[in-house]
Amino acid sequence: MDKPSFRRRQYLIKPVFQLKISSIIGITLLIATFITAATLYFNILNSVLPEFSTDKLKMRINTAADIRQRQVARYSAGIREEREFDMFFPETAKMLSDYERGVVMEILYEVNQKLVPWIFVLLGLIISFSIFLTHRIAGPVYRFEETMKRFIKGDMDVRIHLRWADEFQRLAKLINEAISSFSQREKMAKDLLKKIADVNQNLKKNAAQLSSATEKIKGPITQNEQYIAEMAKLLDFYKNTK
Amino acid sequence: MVCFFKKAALIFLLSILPLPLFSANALPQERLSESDKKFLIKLEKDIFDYFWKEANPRNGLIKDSSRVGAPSSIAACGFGLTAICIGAERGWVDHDRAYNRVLKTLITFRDKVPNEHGFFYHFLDMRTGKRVWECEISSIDTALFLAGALFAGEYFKGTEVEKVATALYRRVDWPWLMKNNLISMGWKPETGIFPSYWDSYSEAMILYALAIGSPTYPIKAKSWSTWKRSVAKYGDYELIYCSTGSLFTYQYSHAWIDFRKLDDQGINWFKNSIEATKANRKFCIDQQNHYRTYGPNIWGLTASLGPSGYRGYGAKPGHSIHDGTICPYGAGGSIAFTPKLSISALRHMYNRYGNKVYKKYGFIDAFNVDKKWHTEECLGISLGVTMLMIENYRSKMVWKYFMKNRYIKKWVFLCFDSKDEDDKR
Repeated sequence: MDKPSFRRRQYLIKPVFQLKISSIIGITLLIATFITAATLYFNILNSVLPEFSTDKLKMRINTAADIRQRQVARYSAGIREEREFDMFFPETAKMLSDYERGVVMEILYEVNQKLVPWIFVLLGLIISFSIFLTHRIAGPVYRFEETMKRFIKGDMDVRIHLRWADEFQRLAKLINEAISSFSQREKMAKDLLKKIADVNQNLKKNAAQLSSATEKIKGPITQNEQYIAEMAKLLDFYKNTK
Repeated sequence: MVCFFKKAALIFLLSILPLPLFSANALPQERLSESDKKFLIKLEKDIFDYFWKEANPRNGLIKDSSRVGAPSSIAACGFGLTAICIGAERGWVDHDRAYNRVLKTLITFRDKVPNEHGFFYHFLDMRTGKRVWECEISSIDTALFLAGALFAGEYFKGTEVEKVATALYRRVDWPWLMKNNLISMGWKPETGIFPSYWDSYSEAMILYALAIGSPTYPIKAKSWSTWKRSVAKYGDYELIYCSTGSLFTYQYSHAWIDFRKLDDQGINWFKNSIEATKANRKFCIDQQNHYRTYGPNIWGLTASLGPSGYRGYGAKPGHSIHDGTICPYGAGGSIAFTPKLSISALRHMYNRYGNKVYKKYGFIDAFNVDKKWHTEECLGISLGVTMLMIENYRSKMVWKYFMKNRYIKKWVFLCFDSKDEDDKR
């Protein structure tokens, strides 16, 4: 026996809806990425360029010379110079002096410091968009659930009313049409039952006048009355005020 | 009659016996003219401006020198903490602003400046407080910083400043740099503990004082008497000298510690510094035939900037490296020892060279007439020692507060007062 296949072959089942959701998520992420990239780019650039300017280089040479001269002036014994590389730096960082690596580390640290508040802002932004987005989906879903619950309880007047920006407008319209159609047929069934009950009543009256046929007709009429009562009880479940 | 003469002789002896001690203990109080006083106040205020303005207000770190882009030095910070308190006392800065700046500096050292066993790196980045280049963890510069911190703690007694200053002092593990009862000059992560030790008379007296007085990681009191005290003579001046002959070595510890009343087994270090200052001046006078810069009122060979960069200039007794470069703060830092000579020298330099040697923060660090050279820079440590010594000369304020500190009292008790050898172990 062939297994029923549930694989969806068409991924864009509702292209407009799916594209709309994708656009909102995409734009949010794009904004987030742009802000992050701009923060990284401008902060690193603003810090790196002055650090490697001629003026700064001159200052660094002066500072290094000052420190060296102070050490020579103070410490008579030579100081062994050995360099160990930081395991957190890539191999290419060997091209940099300890000071320059320190500067790079410092810049990265500062950029991180500046980025952290932005991450919170972006997180807030994404959370807000998500809430807004899910509200437009979760709202209708909630409405559907509530409507169906009342419908199951026999309320034929119930209808789904969504806000203009909500998703699933078409689905709501279809469900409302289905409920209306059902309600209409239920009304018709009730009218029909009333007519059958009236006919049965007439039959019962007429049968009373015909004494010979009484016993033969009485039984089915009574039986018919029971069916009508049962049918009326069933249709009474559906409340229709209109 | 004999009895009378005996009594008279005894009274005479008693009256002259304390004289050498008294003359060493007392601050030389020569009468200053009004213009001398005004000059000192102006110099002190101008130096204060350096420590207030050449600092990063966001973290309280103070620049090592006035050079653009100069890093911070922890010794300059130590002098600066003291200078700011003096400024508050003198009314040059609002008391609350001074308090906030001092507290900010101390908190930066507590929370941001890297330390090794409580010791700090000599030079720090002005923005971040991190180690600059491959500079060393410096024991003496840590001590100079802590002296300033403890002074500020005493000045702002009972406040957060005192708490943080004391916490910084308490966390220093002095024995970590010790070997054979001597403290090493420093440490580098790349090389370890330096093989050079503070093993003879130098500016390190304050380092040993703080290490011995420590309530948490003290070193043995006998360390105080372990370092060598070599005696030498220059002209009529006999003194325990520092091998470099640099004047600052006779000044730094005295900026905070009042040695006037301390008798160190017959040595009075205050008197020793007077002799050293006079010897330094005489050396310059004796060398004036070789160097046009030197003279009776242009003297003061001390570590400073020079035509070939920073040098440990000094006079005899000592190595006496010199090339005609004079640092005005050589004379300035000795103002409490030789007020008349020092003020005469400073005023002479000011009058003779004017704006070439005197800028907005006081005197430049050094000049050399022979080589037609002068720097535009001021060094925080040179300015600092001069300002503190001027204040000590004027009001004894730094000594007064610093000597109240209980850890300094402990050091005094262990190394000067107590005769009980058990206390000293």
